[in-house]
Amino acid sequence: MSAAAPAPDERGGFLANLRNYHPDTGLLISSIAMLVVLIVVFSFTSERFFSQAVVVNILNQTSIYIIAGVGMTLVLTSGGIDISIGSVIGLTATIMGLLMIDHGMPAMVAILVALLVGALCGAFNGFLVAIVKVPPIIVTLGTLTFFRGLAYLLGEGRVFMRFPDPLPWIGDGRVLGLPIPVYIAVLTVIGGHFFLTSTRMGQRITAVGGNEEAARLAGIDVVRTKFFTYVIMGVLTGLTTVVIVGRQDAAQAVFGFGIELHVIAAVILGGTSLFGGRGLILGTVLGALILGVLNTGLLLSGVVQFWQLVALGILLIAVVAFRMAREGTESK
Amino acid sequence: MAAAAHEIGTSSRATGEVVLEARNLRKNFGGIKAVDDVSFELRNGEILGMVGDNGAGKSTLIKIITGAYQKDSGEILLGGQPTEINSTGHARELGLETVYQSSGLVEVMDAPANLFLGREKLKEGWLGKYFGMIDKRFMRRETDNLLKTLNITVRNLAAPVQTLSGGQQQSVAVGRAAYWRGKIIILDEPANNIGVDQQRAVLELVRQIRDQHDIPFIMISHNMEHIFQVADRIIVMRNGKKVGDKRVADTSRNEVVGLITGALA
Repeated sequence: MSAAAPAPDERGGFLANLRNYHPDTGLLISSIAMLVVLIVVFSFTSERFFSQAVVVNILNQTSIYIIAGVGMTLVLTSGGIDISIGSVIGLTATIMGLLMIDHGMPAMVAILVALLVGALCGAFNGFLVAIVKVPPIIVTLGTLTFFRGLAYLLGEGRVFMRFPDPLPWIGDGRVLGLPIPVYIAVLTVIGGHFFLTSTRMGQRITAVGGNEEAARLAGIDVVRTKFFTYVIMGVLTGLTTVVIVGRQDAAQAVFGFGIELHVIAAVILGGTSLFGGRGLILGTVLGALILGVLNTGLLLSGVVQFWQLVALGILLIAVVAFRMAREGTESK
Repeated sequence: MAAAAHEIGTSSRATGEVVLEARNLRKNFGGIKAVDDVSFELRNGEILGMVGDNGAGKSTLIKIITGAYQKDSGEILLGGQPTEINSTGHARELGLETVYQSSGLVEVMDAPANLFLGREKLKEGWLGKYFGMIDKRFMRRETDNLLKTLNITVRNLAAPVQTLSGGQQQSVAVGRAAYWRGKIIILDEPANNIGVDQQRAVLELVRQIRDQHDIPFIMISHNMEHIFQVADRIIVMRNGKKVGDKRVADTSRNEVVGLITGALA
């Protein structure tokens, strides 16, 4: 049972690879296929769809959903959910405004404070979910209004504007033709993917979401694992806020309103299970891109915004229904 | 088949040293004596069957041994040393591996992840040390080897264990206990809720692990056939008391059933 037996050949030709394919591969391929189909359709319905400006614009818009989506993927994988992130963005943006505009705090310090505020909001959610053991949907429904209320109280209805450098650059600057937020999103995705698939904490998040009781019996600290997951979500929400405030060069208590629905939709479209135990960071990227392409494509094709919302809803339900039907036939 | 199995059962090999000894264990819940002055011992290489009706106290007794409950009085000796078992985690550190009825696997994760659940192997060097990066290749290779030694065929190691049959899942759970070099493996209804062929495979695996590694087992079961197929010795519980402690070679199904029901006192 130990090192005595020879290692099996792990590159055992095409057939062996096919046999040992990863079960998530199918989900990723179906998401890529969906994305390609949308792109092909829109290239027919709109001439301008393939212009560089449009592509860059889609990537730029999508990046904030991807950054928050990485955190949401982790939370859903742990068997939880966080619908308070929009309010965390409003609160964090307001605090950034107060610190930089009213108190002249340097941007880099304020950015660190923003990440810290996000982490504290996440820790508050995590505390209630993991330690007080209130269901995540209830906790974050409560903090959804709680954090938003705090944001309005602190912001007093003001709009903070003209932020110090380099904040506007972080939101709107370009390097090699691509907006900075895209680079931030790419780094977040690489880090998130590595974290979830290849680290001990990532494995434990999956285990807790997959079967909490089995995880506990195997000696995993379930409370700590859940708490930590919400803290990461909070930090990434803080980072999302930095990008949003930088891009708008403004901050307001109402920022981030409704973003949680868009983010959760992207994560679910990407193949992450709403019931925990299966998370695909790369799927989340594809899910966010699908939503971005759909929105922009419909807009450029002259479809009114109300129909865009209808299309988005139909797509989300159809994809999940299709996937559940397929899984039903696959297992048992 | 049953006769052959009985043959093996009678060739008792319980000759090893005592690894676990329970002395006068008691546990009350309110006024109910769930475990009432029970003593028993377990020797190396022995498969000890534990039977009894619902509420006879076998499950409480096992929970005391595995640290899930604290005893009211009595003593537990591991390898001759009096030992307090504070929690299930502590029991595991002491080498008591438990396989639960619901197998204790995370069904949506693959076999390597389950084998190393909560005990993930980190990569050597800074990646493991500072980033908690796990050594997937190692975990996969170990799983592959373990499954081969245990004659469990898994088509795709990267597939969630829920795609395996119930018997295979239970085998993975039992194999996991053996892999971690449990000094004692405790099986709580190991062959429940799975098909007949698979039950036989799981019991065969238990015997194989005992034969190869000399690991002793305590096996709780409702199923008299299972007990007689693999156990060397049987403890019968009734109303919180131990009412029988028989070598399988020296008893019969009728006698054991009599002890369980109280027809033989």
